Amino acid sequence: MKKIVQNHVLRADCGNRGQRGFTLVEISVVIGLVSLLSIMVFRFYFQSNRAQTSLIEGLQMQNTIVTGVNKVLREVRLGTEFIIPDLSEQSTVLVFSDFENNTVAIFPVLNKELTKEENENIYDLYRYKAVTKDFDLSSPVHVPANLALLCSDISDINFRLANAKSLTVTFSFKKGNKSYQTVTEGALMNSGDVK
Amino acid sequence: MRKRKGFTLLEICIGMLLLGGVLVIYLQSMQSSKKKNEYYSEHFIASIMAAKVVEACFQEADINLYGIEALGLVDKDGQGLTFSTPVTDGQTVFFKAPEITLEQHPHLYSMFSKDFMLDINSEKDAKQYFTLNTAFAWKAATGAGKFNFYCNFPGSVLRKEPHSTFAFPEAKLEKKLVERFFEEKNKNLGTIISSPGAREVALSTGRIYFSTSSLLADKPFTEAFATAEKLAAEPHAPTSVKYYQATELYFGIARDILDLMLFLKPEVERLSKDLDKIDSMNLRTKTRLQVFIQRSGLALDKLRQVFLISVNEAASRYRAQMQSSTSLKSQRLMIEKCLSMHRLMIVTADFSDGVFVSDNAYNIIRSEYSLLLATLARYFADKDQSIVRLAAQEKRFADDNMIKDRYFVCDLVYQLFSEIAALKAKLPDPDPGVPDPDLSVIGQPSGNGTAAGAITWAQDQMNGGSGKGLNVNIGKRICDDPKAWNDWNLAFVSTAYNGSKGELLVGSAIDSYSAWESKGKVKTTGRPPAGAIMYTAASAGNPYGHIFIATGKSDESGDPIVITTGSSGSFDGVREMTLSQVVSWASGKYLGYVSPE
Repeated sequence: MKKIVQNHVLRADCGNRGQRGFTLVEISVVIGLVSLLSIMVFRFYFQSNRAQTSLIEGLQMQNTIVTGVNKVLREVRLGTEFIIPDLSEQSTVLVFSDFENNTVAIFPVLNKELTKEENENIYDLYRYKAVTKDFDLSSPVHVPANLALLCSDISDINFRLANAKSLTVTFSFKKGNKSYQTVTEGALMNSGDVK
Repeated sequence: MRKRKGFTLLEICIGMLLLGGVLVIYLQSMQSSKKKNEYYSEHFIASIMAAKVVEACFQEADINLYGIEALGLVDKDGQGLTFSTPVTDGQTVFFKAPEITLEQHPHLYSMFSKDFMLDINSEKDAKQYFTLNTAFAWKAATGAGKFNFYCNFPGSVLRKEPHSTFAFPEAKLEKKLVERFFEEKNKNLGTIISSPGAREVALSTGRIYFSTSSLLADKPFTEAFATAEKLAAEPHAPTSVKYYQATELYFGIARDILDLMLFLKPEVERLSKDLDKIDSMNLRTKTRLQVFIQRSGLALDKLRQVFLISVNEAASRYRAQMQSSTSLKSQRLMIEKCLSMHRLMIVTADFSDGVFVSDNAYNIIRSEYSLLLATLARYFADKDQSIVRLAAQEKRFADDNMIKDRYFVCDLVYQLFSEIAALKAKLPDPDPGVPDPDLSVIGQPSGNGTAAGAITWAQDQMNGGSGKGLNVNIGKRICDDPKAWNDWNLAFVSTAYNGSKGELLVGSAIDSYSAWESKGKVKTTGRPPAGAIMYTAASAGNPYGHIFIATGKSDESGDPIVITTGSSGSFDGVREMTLSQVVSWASGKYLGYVSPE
């Protein structure tokens, strides 16, 4: 009886001030709607963010591919004769002589950090130039200045000669959830002879 | 009654509709963004792949002038074609090594198997070039995807304007013609030959005669040929430096001759066309000019022989070098040169008389070429498909007699040799008693001991020749002093025979005659053969007698033509004249001749 009276008093007070409270149902509906809206807004936000990240990753990857492919082709164009691989063979390593008769090698090196991140073997591609006039076969010395990084994020690479003068390179790149494969061709520009 | 207000069903429906609408727009936008992202990736890969195809086309065109045709991108008449092919599983030549397969290239394969087509459209353009549009077309999620790569390639039938680098001293030509052809001084050509047509013929003859003599007497040229012949005779391995050296020497000789022939092409054409224009000239001038036309024809013919020998040698040597080479680059370079030389041999096979021992040179050359092409196709089958395609294409060209139509250098050489053959046919047949000139003695201080060498060397001391024969008695040469051989007739004949005949190493011409006479070698009847040593008797004015050399030719009346030195009382230098003229001039009776052995 006392409880009923108290409630009545409360309602009477509210009514007196022209105000009223929310029922539990109303509050529940409002909280439900706000939660739904929040979920949707957050989802929109994260999806947009993910799409943007994906786009940026794609562009970064394309940039890596263009730069890497161009760097490899630029090195090959300085060459005069391929040493490895032989015709009709393919190799993950390319060795050739350049126009100064130096021996140039292009080879992948495992990147342990990226390999751990990607859970797959990821390599960096390097170029090393053995300068013939300074190179002593009996006591070879590594010259750090002759080593250059050509590109990263490579999951696989293959060199194959299309002919004695031209090279086909198959690249596989991987970063995050982005994977690309591409095939390109480059030729020795110094044939060493005048027609 | 308290007024209680909530959302009506209509309000909720509108709210839900608006929310749904926003959601749909957002999802569509996300989907579209995803598709575009995918399209950009595909477009990017397509651009790299198109660049690879174009590079492959350039590589094919690098070794094969008609490489684009060999790839099947233009038809055999050089007209454009449309070429369309899938690219996976080795369905096109551009992606055969390596092939794009599901196992090897899963990402590329998944992309290229989506109705991905390589479309190459070739369109004949102006100036013998055509535009190649290399396009990749695919069924992109955003709609049709396409990437185009335009570039120009040489057309199938490529014609060039040939240019010779041969430098001819044109400014001195008229003066040289007047002095050497017509033995006049301080006159211009117009006063000697009044007819403009005949004058042009004389000028053309001069260009041919002086340029060919200059090349054949050129020390580096003759030494190169001698060195090449010497090295070729030695047993060097095809991988050795000396073998390569001989090959390059032959190649260089052929190139130099071709360069000269290119310069002479219009002159040979004019000579062949206007030869009858000299008929109106006076007899002396005409005879002099005819002598030089004949010599020019002989020199051209000699150049033809040296050219064919050099081309034949270079072709067989490049073939041997290619077969022995372990370097891929050398093999590839050698193929280009080897095929070029063989092509020249095929188109000149009809003009190879006097060069090859066999009478069936044409068939031998063609079968050798077929064998070479078959060997190339077999050897490179698993190594270099562009060479296999090149060999197949060359075989078709050879079988269909299209070599000279396809290669402008071959066509040019064919035209040159045709012109030389036409000119040769118009010239009178050389006297059968006259041997071919021995070009090895041209520009030398003495002959080489043979009859042909003696005549050629003696002629080389005449006007128009090098005049480098050395009179060791006074240390002079005609090129330095026109009087170098005046009154030295015995020394001249002895030097022509390189001092090889003891009967000439005596005090005077008449002593030499006596030496032969005592051995019963002197003949007084019959026509003196080429290189015969001839004598006139001593006289009051000439107590030593006179000695001279027979050319083997005779004039229209049968009077033998000889080569003799001059004297202080007659003329300077060395000349050709008839025996009657010598007898009259030397004032001693004709004693007879000794045949060369």
